[in-house]
Amino acid sequence: MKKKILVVEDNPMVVKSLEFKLNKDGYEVVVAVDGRVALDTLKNNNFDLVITDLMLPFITGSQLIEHIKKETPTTPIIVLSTATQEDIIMDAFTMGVDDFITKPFSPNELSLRVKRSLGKT
Amino acid sequence: MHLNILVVEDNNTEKAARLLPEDWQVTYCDNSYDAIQLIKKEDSFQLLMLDEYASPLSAYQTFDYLKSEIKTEVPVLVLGEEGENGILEHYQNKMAFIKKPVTNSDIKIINDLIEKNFVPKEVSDKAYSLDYLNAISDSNFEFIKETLVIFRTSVKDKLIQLKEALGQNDFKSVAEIAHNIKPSFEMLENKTSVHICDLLNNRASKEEVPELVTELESQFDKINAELENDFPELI
Repeated sequence: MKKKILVVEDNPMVVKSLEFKLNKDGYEVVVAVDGRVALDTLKNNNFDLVITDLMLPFITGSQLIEHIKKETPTTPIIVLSTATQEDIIMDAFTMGVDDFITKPFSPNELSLRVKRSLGKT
Repeated sequence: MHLNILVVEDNNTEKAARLLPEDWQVTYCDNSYDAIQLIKKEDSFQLLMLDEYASPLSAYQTFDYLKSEIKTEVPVLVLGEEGENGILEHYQNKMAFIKKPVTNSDIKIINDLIEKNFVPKEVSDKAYSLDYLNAISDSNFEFIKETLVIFRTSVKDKLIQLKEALGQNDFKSVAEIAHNIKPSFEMLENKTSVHICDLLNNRASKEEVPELVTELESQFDKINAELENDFPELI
């Protein structure tokens, strides 16, 4: 069975690229364009991995991460963000995310990191 | 050629460094954070070698950080477990990948990487590049066309929102919109627009914002005009 990944991202070009690459790598991808949609989607579905931006409309990425860590603590999370400041990277790790990728992502790096995070489940 | 190489030390990088020509100077550091600090302090390294999962920042994150925050483009050699050996074009030939363990025959890749970075790159006057989209999709033209359509429509909408926010002196929204569309310009490798988005998101004063928004719009129009010329079917 295909592993199921929730992508939470509000830039449609990034979404398109992630969907293309992850589908090509053999994963099932569900997209949520903001934090609210992500919470709704998480209520009714189980995911093997969540890839999320930090700056999202309505509910921030940090709030979403907190929610996931509370409800399904074993679900791995990869943060996808344009931010490259050390403090933001460190904050994300403090919240318990498994990995961090900066946008625009490298296709090889994405494949490797997704594979590695899914290996932990 | 005497070269100054910075190595984030672990078993594999240390073994690889032993294969380098004897007259190359090798400096070791413990982690990628220290490497960043060293490069920040003395910008004299011609190559940084580290494991793809170096800590606390991976090789790719270190490269991104050096480029965006330190504004330096020291070539990076990544040692990893899975992948094809060679120079990674997506990183503008500034990064190469070698599968561990490194052998003598892999040294050619290091030489190629260094050589490429001593040769001035061809300067393009195009407002956009498809290199990134080609790399993502293995040059899948359908994907590229669809993504270009998304670029034209989504960024156009966001620019309208940006101007509305500016009209209302809502600088918080201006910054958020700039943050949102920055990756779109990055994916088409328009550095001017990426820089403007950074300024709008972080550092621009309120007085500078109107001019930056106008310039961003002008860059978008330029990209669009070139896209329409190069891909008439998009219109």
